[in-house]
Amino acid sequence: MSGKVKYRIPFTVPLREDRSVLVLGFESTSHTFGVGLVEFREGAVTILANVNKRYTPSKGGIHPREASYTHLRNSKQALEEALDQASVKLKEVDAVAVALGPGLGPCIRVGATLARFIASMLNKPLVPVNHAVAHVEIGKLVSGLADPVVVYVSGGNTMVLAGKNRTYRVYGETLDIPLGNLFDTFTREVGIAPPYVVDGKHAIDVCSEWGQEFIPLPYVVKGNDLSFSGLLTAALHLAKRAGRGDKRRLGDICLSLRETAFNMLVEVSERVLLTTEKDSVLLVGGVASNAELNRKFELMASEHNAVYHSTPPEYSGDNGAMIAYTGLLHYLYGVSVDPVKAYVRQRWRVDEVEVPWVP
Amino acid sequence: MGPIERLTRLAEGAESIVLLGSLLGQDVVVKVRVSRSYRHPDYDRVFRFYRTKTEARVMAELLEKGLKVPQPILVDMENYVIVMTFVKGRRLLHVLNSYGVEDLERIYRDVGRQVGVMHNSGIYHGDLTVSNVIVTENGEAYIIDFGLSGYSNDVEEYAIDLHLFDRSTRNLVPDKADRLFKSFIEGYSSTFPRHQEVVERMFDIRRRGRYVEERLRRKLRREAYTQ
Repeated sequence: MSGKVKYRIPFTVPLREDRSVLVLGFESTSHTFGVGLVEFREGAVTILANVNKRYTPSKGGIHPREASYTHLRNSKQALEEALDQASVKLKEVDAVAVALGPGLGPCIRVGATLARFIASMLNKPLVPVNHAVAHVEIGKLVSGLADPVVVYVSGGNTMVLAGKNRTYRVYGETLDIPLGNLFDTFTREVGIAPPYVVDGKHAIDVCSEWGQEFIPLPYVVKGNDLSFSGLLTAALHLAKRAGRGDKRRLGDICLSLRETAFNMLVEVSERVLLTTEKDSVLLVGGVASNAELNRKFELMASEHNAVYHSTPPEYSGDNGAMIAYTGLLHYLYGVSVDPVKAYVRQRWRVDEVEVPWVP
Repeated sequence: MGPIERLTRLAEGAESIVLLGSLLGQDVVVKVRVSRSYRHPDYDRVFRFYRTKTEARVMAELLEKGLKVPQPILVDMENYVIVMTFVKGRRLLHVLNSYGVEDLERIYRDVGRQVGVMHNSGIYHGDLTVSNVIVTENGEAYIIDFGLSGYSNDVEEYAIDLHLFDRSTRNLVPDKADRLFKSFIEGYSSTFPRHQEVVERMFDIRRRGRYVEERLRRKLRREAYTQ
């Protein structure tokens, strides 16, 4: 178990330092089936295992039923690998955490069924975890930031959050499609994806490198909320007029699309940073690994003397460790659910969850 | 800044710095749209140009309609600066908890009436929150910050204004929000004939995915607003 990084929880939790807790977590809200094992010992958190199996569609986007079948096939192996990696036995686990939403119903059910079964079999508490809260918590743990403005961007979510009164309040979010979805849909429609991400680089970034010129596109910010659907339509319209094969022009469109979308997001985040008067910004979710977005956020934060942190790829995309860790936090505060009543909540909003460790 | 004296920093926004100064003995607000390094340079210029232009135009037009908004005095399109009159008072945000409900209802009716006139002129505010309404000492409500405003005949834009205003109120004073919004609609419907359409659209917006939990409650709420 040497070589595993120990993290300090960046806030205080109600637990005696001499106790140790081991939590198993399941993530299956979207394209990833993940199993994580997290241990709390001597005041520090160690991620013992983080095994993630990804469903990659051969064409089009995620098909919920196909994805859930893939999760089912992967689940046994993922669990075994995780227990093996951590060299622990299933019966040593103190609590079982599971992401019950938000996400795709058929996919969540795979993780939920497995977690309910294991919790009932071991007679251990089952801890419900909100997927969005988990993204935020793992980001805070890895970066060491206690109370940042959190920008959560992935294929299915775009929101700017900040902790207030024991919840994560949504200060700004997308009114229609999420940022990751915008890029996925655009690159798919113009024929340069799937695969959407190759070697950690999204097709939109590859395409942006072909372009030079900036074309003005619809920039829609309403209050602190964003709208990307008009931007997508406008960009697709331009691409259609350019015709296939004009690589340079397509590059210009990709560059302008990415530039406009990122500027919108950074502007809104900047406004939230100023209104909430926090001193740090944290980027989480699948799009957190994007180099250009990181560059923009770094510049924005430095202009306001704020600390900026992104999340490393293994914890920014969907993963099992974040569910296990967030489950651990909830478990320390005594949250658990009867397996019979552990319903899947496809539209479970992040601001409905009570997070007692947030001031 | 030439003739403007005693400049002090009033606030810093995401895209601008707001200064307080004095011009010929009158208090003025100087809004400077600053360059942002994270923006593409071409884009940065276009962006600042259009926002400055729209903001100044909208304010001038609303003044003509007799609304209580700051008066633009000078507009510099090369440095993206607007100089406007200073409205002395407190933000609605800061008086929400200290004012009585009757006073607040009167303020909300007034804001509603003004927003109705604005929408009737084909203008939307784009960032209508409780931070962007100033209440003066004698209880008059001024709408400020037209940085995100624009021209449109689309009901959607008007509905977003209502949505944002109600949201920001609801976040701060959830128990009074229903009464206050009703007062707002009273004022709004007196000046804008398409009010019903806009309120309907506001509920539609909240049904688009993100406020799904509200679906269950929407019928009750809708009846409370439409007589």
